[in-house]
Amino acid sequence: MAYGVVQLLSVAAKDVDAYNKTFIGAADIENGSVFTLGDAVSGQEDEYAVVQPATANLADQHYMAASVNRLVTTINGQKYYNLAQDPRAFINVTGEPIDGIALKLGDEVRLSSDALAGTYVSSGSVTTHVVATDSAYKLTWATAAISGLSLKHVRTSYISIGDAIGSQRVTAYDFIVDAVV
Amino acid sequence: MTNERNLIMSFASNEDVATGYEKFVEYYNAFKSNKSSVGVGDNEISMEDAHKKMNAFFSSEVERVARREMKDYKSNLMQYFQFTDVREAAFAVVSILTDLIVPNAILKDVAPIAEFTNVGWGDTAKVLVKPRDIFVPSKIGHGRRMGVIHQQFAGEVTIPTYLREVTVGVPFYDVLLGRYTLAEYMVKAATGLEAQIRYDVWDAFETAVGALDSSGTAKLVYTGYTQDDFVNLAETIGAWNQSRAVVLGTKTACSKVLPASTNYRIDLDTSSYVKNGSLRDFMGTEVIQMEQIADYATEFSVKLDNTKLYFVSPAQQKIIHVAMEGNTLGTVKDNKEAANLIATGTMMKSWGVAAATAALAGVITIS
Repeated sequence: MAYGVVQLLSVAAKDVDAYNKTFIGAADIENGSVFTLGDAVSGQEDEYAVVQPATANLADQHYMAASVNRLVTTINGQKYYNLAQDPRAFINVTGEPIDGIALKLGDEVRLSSDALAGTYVSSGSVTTHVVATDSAYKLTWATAAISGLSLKHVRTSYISIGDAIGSQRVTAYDFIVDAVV
Repeated sequence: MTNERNLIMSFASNEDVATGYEKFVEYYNAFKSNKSSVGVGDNEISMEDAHKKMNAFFSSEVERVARREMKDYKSNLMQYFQFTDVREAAFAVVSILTDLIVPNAILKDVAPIAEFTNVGWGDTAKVLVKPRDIFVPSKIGHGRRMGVIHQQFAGEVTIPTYLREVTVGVPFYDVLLGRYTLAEYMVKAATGLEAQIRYDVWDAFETAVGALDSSGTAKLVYTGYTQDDFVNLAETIGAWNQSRAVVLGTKTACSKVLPASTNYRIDLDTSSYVKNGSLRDFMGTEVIQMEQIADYATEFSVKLDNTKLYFVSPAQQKIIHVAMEGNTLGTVKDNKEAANLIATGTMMKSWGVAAATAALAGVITIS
């Protein structure tokens, strides 16, 4: 099992402080997943609750989990920094701060296939987009954009992760945000 | 082998003692190589003198560890050797020497493919594997400050170690008859541990390389030797490793590496081919014969596959990593401690083997 990996190729959040927020999740959230802004966390000026995508908020401003988190939690709840290098070992664990960036029109991101729900279809009923989906943190492959957060698939790519003796290229997909309200 | 000095120092903070152990390793390597002397220049001594010095060093180390001197018992050396602390000390010293010698001995044979690391008891070896990919530039308009941001990630391979033990036993009556000695058996036990590590290294290597792609553009596993495949694979491995590739194989395997055209063989250095059993250099790629090793699991079988030619870049990160945990442990039980009067000796060694590398390798199976 591998968790999703995200690379921010070119995003507005790189240059705008206000597009970067800190979130606290009520569930474990993989990098590359999306959510909307919830209530401010009591006693914390810079932390907001994560709200899972739902039919009612698909057209709201979405944020993408893009942590460089190095915190690994064992099954009994013990937490270790820098235990493992491979980003596929990380998930943003419940209750820990998550770096979230506001997705803006034109943003380019690269997501590993593990970060997405569904399967990419390249011929026939081609999946041209990944979209925000009710009751799911992960973006889901779709054959068209929706009235809400939609990212257009622009190329199939790879993310280089030092791994074993053979291929070190993890299948990934490049997207441009082309519909967000 | 890394950390050799640290390993010694962890057993002895005394500089003379540490040097003594290092000399012992030097002596052992010269002995295994059938050399007539040890050392170079002014420090060169005959093998006979080295043998005496090493025996003296061993005795003094046992005295130091046991804190009991042999000269106090020179009228009754049997009594000295019967002391439990002396026996314990002797096997402790043997264990230290085993820790030093075993990886060294193995490394001589597997150096192109394996690397040894010592870790403390309870530690897990972790090998960092960095991506071999580079960042590829793309065209960009003149009015942009920057392109898309490229990143890559390192991974790692952890190597858990597993404790292995060998227990040997000698009946008291056989000792009285002078048939067998526990020491003789213990030497074989140490040899067995050494052989097992060697097997583990080759098994891990063959599994890792054999699992690579055997078709498509990423093909690194070929069936059937051809000159073109040989040259292509050597070039591919060398190019992607950014380090010259060499070919490893048994004498049988290496002997099959010949030019495609039999006409060209007229120009071969025939006497050298017959003498060496293979071409040492073929189409610009070095061909290295690996010494075959006996596979004691099955009588008269050998471990290294006579049908495989492996392509590796020895100067790159090694394919196989061996983690040696802690030190060799040894326990000895005297004849009279056992109800059936069998003296036993146990050697325990903990190690783990894994393929962990950013380097590429390839293989041709000679059909």
